[in-house]
Amino acid sequence: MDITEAFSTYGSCVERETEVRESVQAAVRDLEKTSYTISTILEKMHNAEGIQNLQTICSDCHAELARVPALYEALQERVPFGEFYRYHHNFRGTTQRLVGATCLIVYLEENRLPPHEEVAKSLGLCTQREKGFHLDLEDYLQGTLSISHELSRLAINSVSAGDYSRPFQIRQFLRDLHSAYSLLFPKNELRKKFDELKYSLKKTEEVVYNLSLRGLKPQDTETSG
Amino acid sequence: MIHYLIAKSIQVNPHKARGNILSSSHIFSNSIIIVVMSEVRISGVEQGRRNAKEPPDTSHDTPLMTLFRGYSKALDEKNDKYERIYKTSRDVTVRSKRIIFSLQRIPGLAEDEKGNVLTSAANDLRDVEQTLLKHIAMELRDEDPHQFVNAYTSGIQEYIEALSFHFFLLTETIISHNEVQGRLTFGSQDQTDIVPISVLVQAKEYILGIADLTGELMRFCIKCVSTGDFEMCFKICDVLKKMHGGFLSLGYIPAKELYHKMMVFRSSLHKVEEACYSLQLRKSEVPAEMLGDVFAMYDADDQNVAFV
Repeated sequence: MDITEAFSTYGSCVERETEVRESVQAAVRDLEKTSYTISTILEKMHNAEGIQNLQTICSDCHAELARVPALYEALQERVPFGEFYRYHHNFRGTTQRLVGATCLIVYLEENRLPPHEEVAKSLGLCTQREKGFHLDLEDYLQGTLSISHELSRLAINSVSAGDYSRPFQIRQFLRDLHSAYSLLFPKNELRKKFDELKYSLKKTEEVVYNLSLRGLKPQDTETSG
Repeated sequence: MIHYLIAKSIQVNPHKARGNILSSSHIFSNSIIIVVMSEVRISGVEQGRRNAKEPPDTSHDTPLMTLFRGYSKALDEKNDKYERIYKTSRDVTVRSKRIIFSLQRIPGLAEDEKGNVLTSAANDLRDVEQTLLKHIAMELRDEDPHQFVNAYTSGIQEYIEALSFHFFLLTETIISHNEVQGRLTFGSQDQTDIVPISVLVQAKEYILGIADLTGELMRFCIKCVSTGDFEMCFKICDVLKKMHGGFLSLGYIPAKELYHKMMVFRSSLHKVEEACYSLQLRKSEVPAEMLGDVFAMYDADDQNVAFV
């Protein structure tokens, strides 16, 4: 066998992969834009006016989220069949950000954590690799954990804005999240994110403590935890 | 009698939701030292699963927790598979290195001994394929191999190095990518409806394995010089020059491991070229039977020795 043939084959392999990667990255850039737009809208929830107007913020976000499934379809077309994980690292970060945004919106509207299937559906993805372009479970778990930081921030800003009941609600939510995540045996990055969750929970508990100490706990909020 | 208690530390690992209380009490009474270790369950949180002999108590689960038990199972399955593949890949690396060492003993052996070493290496290679690599292939069945490629890439590269080295010693050519992939595809001949399982060998792994081969060929070549097999020396030089041309034809190399291997290859190539050059010169001065003695002291890995 001619050696040079092996190298020219490899060379064309590399070229092909570079082309696919660049095309994937172009599609990811569109997703990124939408993801940052949603983050900008969500940032408003930390303002005093924002806290009163969560409905508006959420509906604005939904408008942006509605565009995401089409963008994922465009991305899917550029990833060769059966090579999801070959190019996964190109869009993993963006997917996690979108998962985080979706979870945050559902929390603001309904005070719960949406499960894997629900988040996948709202992003236009399925949950199993065999069925097509899917939302990787670890992306879902990492994306979900990223909201803990935002929520502990919201707890602090709620107090500044005069809303004393939200920190209690957030504390309960983060506690539930923590006990659920404690059931996992995370590795590497997921584990780091889990540590951030503990830190956020601690900060929120401090906020609640400060409120309770000063007798600022609203009467109708649940007291146990 | 002196008693004193040293409480070491209370370590809590919230990930496993279990507490270790390690305490050592030194009782200096007839020189008895007792170390006590016990586990304490943290109330309200599930007992560490690794210790549980019975299924965990799910009666206090929130709906979210029930959901996450399912996620936990899926996550563990994936992580465990990755670990298994990684461990098998390490075994492949060790076995492949042994095969390479055995092949490096060939220069200087008599023909029949040489034949034995080659046959035994062939058997070892087949054994590695049928046991370790097939095991990896079975783990990868129905999975996207790219998800696990980092777990087995170094094992595969080492295996390719051993395989191609053996192939070269038999045929004096370099094994092709398709042939390598063929050896790592396992399917029964008579069961044509079953999709064969295989370990994906990407072009990248193949090229990196071949790049490593150049180092072994260089060492083999230098050994040939000191044992008198000059023909092989020139043949290897020829092959390495062709491979060098191949690498150059790739132009800018995006993978940094490949770049690093190229640097090493270049120095190997120079050593071989200098060996051939010296051989050529000496051939004209010294009778062939004595050439072996002239070069016998040369050490392939010594950077500072010059031939001429």
